[in-house]
Amino acid sequence: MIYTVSDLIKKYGPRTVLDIPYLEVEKEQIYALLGANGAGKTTLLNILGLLEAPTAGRIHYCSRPVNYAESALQSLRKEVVLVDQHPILFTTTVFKNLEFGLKIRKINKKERYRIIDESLDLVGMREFSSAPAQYLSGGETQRVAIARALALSPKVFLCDEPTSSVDVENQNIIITILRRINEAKKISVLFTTHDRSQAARLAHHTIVLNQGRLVPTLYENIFRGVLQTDPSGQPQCVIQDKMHLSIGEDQVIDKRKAVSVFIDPEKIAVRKPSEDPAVANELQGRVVQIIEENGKVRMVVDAGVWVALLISKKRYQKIVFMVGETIVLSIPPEAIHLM
Amino acid sequence: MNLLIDSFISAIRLVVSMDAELDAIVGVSLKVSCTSTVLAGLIGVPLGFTIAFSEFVGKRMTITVLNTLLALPTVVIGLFVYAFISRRGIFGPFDLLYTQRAIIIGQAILIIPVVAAFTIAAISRIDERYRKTAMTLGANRLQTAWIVFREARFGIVAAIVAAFGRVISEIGISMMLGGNIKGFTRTMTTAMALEYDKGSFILAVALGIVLLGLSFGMNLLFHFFQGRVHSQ
Amino acid sequence: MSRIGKVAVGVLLVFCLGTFDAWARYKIIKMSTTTSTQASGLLDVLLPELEKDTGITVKVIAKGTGAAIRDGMDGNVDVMLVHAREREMKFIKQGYGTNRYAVMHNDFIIVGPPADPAGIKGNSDVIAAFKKFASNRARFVSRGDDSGTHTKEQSIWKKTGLTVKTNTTMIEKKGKKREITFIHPHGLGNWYLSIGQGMGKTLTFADEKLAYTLVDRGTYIKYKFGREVPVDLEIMCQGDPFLANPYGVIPINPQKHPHVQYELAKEFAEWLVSERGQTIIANYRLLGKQLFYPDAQK
Repeated sequence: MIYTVSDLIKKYGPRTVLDIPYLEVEKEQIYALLGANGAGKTTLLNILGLLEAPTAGRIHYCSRPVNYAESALQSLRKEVVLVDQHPILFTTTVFKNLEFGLKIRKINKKERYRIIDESLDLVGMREFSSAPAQYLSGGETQRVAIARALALSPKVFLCDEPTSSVDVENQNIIITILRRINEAKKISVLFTTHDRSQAARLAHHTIVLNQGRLVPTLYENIFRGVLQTDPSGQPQCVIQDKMHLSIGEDQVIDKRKAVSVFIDPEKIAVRKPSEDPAVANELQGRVVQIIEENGKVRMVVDAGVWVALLISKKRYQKIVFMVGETIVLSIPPEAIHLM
Repeated sequence: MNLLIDSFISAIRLVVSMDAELDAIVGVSLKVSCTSTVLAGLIGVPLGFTIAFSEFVGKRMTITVLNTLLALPTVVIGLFVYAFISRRGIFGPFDLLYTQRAIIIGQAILIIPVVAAFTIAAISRIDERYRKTAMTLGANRLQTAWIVFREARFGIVAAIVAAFGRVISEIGISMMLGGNIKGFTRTMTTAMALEYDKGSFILAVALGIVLLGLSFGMNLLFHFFQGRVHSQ
Repeated sequence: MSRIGKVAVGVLLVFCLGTFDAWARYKIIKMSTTTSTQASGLLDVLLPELEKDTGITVKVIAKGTGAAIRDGMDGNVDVMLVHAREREMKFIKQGYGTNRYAVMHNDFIIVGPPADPAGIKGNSDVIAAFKKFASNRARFVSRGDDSGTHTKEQSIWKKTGLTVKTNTTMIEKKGKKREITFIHPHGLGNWYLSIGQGMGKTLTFADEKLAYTLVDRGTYIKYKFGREVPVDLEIMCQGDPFLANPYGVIPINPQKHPHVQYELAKEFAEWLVSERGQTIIANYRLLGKQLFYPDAQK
């Protein structure tokens, strides 16, 4: 494990922006950190990048506990490097930007030149070596910033939204670079994105954050719901007046009426419609999307609200659905998480 | 109008012919002001940098105090320093009063807050990401500070130029601590005040022309560096 | 309108009326004089009496002698009260003034640190004293501001027969070239400190630097007896007839500057030399000491 995070809390003033009970990050893998804006992705990245201290909790880096005292962090930072979403280059030449970190590491001049050339080659920016950095375009800046980080041969490479503010051509270049450094140099890569398909293409693992908390996989299945009691006295969650879902008594945490509801897509069962009337927590919907994802099949079903679900390929092949077909979803109480 | 035209023509003649008296006065002014500016820079820049770069209780208060000191009238500093270096003051035995050193001390006190406050402003204008970037690239505190300093360099030079502009044109300290001794502590501003008192305007106007020229040059420099700050 | 507002308007109205009243009386003249004259306090006694007798109000503009004369030349004032006889004569000769009325005189003295490093104490010969300053390189502070005192000092240096340096500056004056001279002995910036400041400042400067200086008696009395922290300087040389300091009053010539209030200026000058004016001058005491001696011929 390159990182083991436990009981991590990060607060800005009274606001809790991160609350992660447990998280492991494996060595030499690519991780995508997914989540909406404000989900806490950047904050988590800064903490893993050893640039911000958590409010509470423990973080182990390479099995050693991290001491967030400034003096102790400096040596660790030499193995972990972070590239911002909008990276900033020092107002000097591209070459000197790359040289800065190498000089700090007391690498001799000949070696520095070799590494800088090699790193710029990797991102295809060698001919810009002596150009003043402040005049580069957004995509070029992003690539130089990546080269500047990679020149330092880090163990961990953290990248905040590497492709969000560059054009398609640069996006592909950057994705290729990330994959290559992971394969060739065995560098652990952790990047944030809000592009699910990009995450699926590039990453071995996906971490999803919603409002500072880890959610099992996808973040679409989150709804605003209202708690009430059905005629038999059983607690019930109503989502947008369209879905009535029975829940267990023990799931009601407090007296709040309005709640956020997450429905775990892996726990939703699905079957073809029959003449049997729908029982509790069964609802009909129309299939609107089917895609393959990480060896599973991901479907989106319009059941009044759009619900996403993941089923195994095996199950899918057993009862083939077509887009536009009506099916029945079965949502057991344990798939429903009130937040 | 005759008065103005006559004075102006004579003044131009003085400036062009590099009149010895004029040169001596301008020389004293430049020597004293340059020295005090360098001194204030050596103290004010690190001071401003330290304040901007560290977190401590009362930081905002310190900055407020510094900003208040920007408006400190020269005569207040003159009076204050006078009390210390007068023959009856605690530094009396050093015979500092009415010397160039006395002016330099007073002027440095005047502009240390200017340099420090402008340095703080220049540093705080620098994007927080420079600091973060330097840190993630493995820089220690000093190396991080160097990066921020480098990015703020034009702002800091502008601070020093502004400080020089302040001392070259001040009169209170030069008069009170220098005493306007001919050929020794007579600066452009004290000489102008004197010439006005004497009722002869030629030298005063000539000095005014030189001073305006210098101030104009300083402002050009200042705006050049300010421009560099904003174009980044 | 609030009560405060009404009061404010009322005050403003009274103020304006007061001003109109003053203009209506139209008996205001402007007088340029030297800072030392104003500093002596004589005018504070003299001018209220004048107003009582003649109804004339005098606005006093005090500068160095050079600037005071300049104000006269430029017609910025109606009358001039200064103490630099040669320059006053020249002023009249050039037609700027109508007539010089000899009003009074006081005298200059040489003061110095009690230790008296040049050894001049008790000698009334001012020329000898100046020679000693030069030979002993004893610190001497010169006003160097083209004032009456400075003019007097330069004339003493000339009389010593020592080699003096003359700085000459050519200036343009009404299309003609003119020279301004500045005389000083050798040792400028070394033992001879030319500071270009007023009398009071020069005195405290000399006190600070333990130096000698030439001062009018009035200023010295004030700084010696009229302050909480008196100067240490003591009188070293006095009584030389050459040190007398005559004051003259000159109305500005209306032919040069038609807008000046010549009649009132003349009335003021004549009042000064009248028996009434002269008595007030003779009776004036500064900290118990007589400062001015009336000069008008009876």
